[in-house]
Amino acid sequence: MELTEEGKKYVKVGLPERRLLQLLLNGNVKIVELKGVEDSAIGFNWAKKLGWIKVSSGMLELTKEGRGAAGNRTELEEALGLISVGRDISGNLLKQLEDRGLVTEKRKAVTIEGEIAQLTPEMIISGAWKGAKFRKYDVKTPAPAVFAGKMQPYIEAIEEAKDILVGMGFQEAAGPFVEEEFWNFDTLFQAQNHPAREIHDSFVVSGRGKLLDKGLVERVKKVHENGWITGSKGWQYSWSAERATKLMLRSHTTAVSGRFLNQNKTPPQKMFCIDRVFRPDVLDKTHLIEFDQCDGIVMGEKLNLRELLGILKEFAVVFTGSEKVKFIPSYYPFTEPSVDMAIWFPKLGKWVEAAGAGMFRPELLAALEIKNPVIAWGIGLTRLVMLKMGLEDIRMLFAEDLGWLRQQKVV
Amino acid sequence: MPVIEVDQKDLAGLCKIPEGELEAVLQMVKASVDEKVGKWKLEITGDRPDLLSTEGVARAVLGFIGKETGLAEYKVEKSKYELKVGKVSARPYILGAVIEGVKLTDQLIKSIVQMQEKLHEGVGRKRMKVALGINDLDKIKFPVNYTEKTEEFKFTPLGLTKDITLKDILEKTAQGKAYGKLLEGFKKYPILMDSAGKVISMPPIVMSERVKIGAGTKNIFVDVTGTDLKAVSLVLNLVVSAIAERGGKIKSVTVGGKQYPNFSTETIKVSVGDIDKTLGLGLKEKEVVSILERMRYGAKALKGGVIEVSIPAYRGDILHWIDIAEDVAIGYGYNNIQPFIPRIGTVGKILEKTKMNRKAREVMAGLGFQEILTFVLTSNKNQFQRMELKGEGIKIENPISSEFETARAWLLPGMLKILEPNKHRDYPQKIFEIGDCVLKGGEETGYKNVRKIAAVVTHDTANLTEIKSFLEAFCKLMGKKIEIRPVEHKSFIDSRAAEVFSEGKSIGIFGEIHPSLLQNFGLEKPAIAFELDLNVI
Repeated sequence: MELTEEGKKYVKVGLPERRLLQLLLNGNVKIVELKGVEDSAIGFNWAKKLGWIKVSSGMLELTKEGRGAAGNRTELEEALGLISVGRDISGNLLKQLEDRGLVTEKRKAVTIEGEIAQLTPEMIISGAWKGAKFRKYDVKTPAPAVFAGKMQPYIEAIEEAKDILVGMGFQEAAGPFVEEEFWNFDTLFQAQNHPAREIHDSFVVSGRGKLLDKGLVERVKKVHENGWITGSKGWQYSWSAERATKLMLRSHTTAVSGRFLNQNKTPPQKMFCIDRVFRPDVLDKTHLIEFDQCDGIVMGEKLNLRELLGILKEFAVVFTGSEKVKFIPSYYPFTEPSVDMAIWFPKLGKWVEAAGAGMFRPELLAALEIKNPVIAWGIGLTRLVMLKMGLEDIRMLFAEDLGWLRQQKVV
Repeated sequence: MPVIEVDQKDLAGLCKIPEGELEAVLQMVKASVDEKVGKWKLEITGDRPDLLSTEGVARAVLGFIGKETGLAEYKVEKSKYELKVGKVSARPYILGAVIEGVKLTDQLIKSIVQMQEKLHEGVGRKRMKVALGINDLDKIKFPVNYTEKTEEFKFTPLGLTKDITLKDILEKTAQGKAYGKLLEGFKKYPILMDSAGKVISMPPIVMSERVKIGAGTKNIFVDVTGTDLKAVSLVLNLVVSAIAERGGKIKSVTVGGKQYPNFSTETIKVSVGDIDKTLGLGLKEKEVVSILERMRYGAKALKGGVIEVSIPAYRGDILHWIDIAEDVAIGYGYNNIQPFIPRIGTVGKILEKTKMNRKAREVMAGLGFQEILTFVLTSNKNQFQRMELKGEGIKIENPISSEFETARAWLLPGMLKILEPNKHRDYPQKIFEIGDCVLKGGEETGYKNVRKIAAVVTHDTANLTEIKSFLEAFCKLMGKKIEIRPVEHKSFIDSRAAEVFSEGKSIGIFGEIHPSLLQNFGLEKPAIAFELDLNVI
């Protein structure tokens, strides 16, 4: 341990409380007169703590203890003296001296032989670095890689799509992976003998659903069989509720749109859902058996085909950055008119069909008791992200390779 | 969507436009060019079986470009051809038609065969609902009889040179094997034969070798059988009208006292106002009428902004006026429609659980973890056996492979699986994933989605303390107070696993992965992990 500057001074001139005591031995002093006396504030505090002094009507005077202390050095003063001659002390006295900032722990002497390679805290505190030479380093020497904790690039793209849609006024919705055929097909006016409902086009799950909304079930049956009140012919067959209870992994997020509309029947509504869908296929560079779809719907008092194209184009332009889109006639059992949107990807030099859309059919709307037009779209978001990221293999989006993931730049 | 192959020169010729202009037009009439290597492949939308032939496509294009407008007329000459229908339990309905004086070029034969195939697939529902035969009329003696025969009955099916029994046809020929199930459970099978007792076909399996068409055929007899009379009649119209586009005289065949094919049109009244509200194109009545005619409808303006539309007998897809509205938009040209952003004021927002996701991802990335994404579909082997657990996830009844036979019930197995291919990558490896798992319990289907988060750390000195630090940091930053209790779990080392509770409810688990799992997953370094139910965090 060693004395601080303050400690060294007190060794020379005495502790402030000792000096105050000496002063008072010459007679009482007015408090206001203390101002001019060096270290008197510190002295006052400690002398008061030791019970050496008292204050009486603006005057400072010695107590009995104070007079008793006049000829005797305190333990603390002894300890300070010992340290000043290079002796070590310990225990409570050392702690008191340290607390008063009079003593600090002595640093080991630091000597530097040769050049400094790694600069250490000891060198900095001791100042031993002064005058020493730093070893010359080659800044071009390769450094080992470090890896950031970071988010998956494909999920980041999905979150970006959500932000764009929120910015366009859409609220997010979600639904379960395991669905009744009822919500995946029947509610969407897809006939039970439609080829797209064949077993090889969706994953069948063991078990049966309960078709909880009995009123909706009745209305769906009627629009399928004869169009009900819509003026449509319907599909002209006998609709089976039993068939509709079959379970499956949803094959499109339009199932979520149907559920949303059943809960939100009055305009205005704007909803989107970005989530996983499942379809049996061959897994290859351009096909996955599960991928993410982005469904959106808008319900308004009045809405038309032009406005559907407007919304589709807006999203495509903001999300992909491509200004060029093209609309192509298409067919979906649940929309009419139906349309596909192709986006021009300048880097690929080609049109890519990216979205299927349309206005929900009157039969579907009637079954859901919706009295206003609804425009709807579904985007194969996974494929769109693949193109946006310039990938040639869609499986990369679900990449297992940590090397690749770690290298992907943050977008 | 069905795809047909067409000879682009042939099609351009029929459409009377240069080949170079064809592609752009086709895309606008629901017959997009899918492939241009050699003969073009056209993708036909599922609602338009009338476009499944070169002739049908040409008919639509000629209208679209304004060269032939209005209803295509097909004159049916009354004739003495008759089809007598007996009791056929397996397939009660049959209709027929005759076309005489057809010039059967290779192209037409190809187009007919292709159309037949595609109609069988789509409208015909793999021949269940409808099947059709195209026969050489000159080899057939009228009247013809539709009847049923037992399995010992013999004839020479297409592609063979000798008679075989119906039983052998069903059991030994490719066609029999493919479609025999449609006749399962019946003691007698449908047979169409002529008045000389010679077989024409065994619907819906195979026709007779004797009546097949070829380059020399001039006159054709079309038969269509099925289980739905409307669909049978539609398919007859589709086929006959397409062939007749190449010339030839259509002659009627009497079935049950009625003449077929029946090209009489149905009509539907549409309001110009309704169409305009739907499309937003500001079209006037006159324009709508003219567009409808280009779309090959008959259209007549009535009073009060109403148009009476006659629907071609080959269009089976018009259920409602909205279907007419779409054709008006198509006729107007989708590429001519100016997009317009609707002015509907709503407040956008993400779901609470998405907000939670974003927070959790940020925290995990901040803790130095790399986010990964794995598939929902997986195997029971990975989810349970490799984890040294017993169990089974939801059952997919038609998986494409045992690798994807169920949906994940938890995330950890999928994460351990990806460590193996990354063994050569730098350590430490710290990964996390957030995703939905499927568990029992939903009210409607018996299943529900549960969102979970899992994290795995692996390196030479990974241990319980380290994962506990991460788990506690994560929960603290997510604002969740947790309690930790020891637990026995087969996936973790004994006494080095703990269950995580929050408000008295179990929300997850953490610990040191058992070496037997490391072995099962082909791993060589210690691994530690946690998995939590994110729905409740």
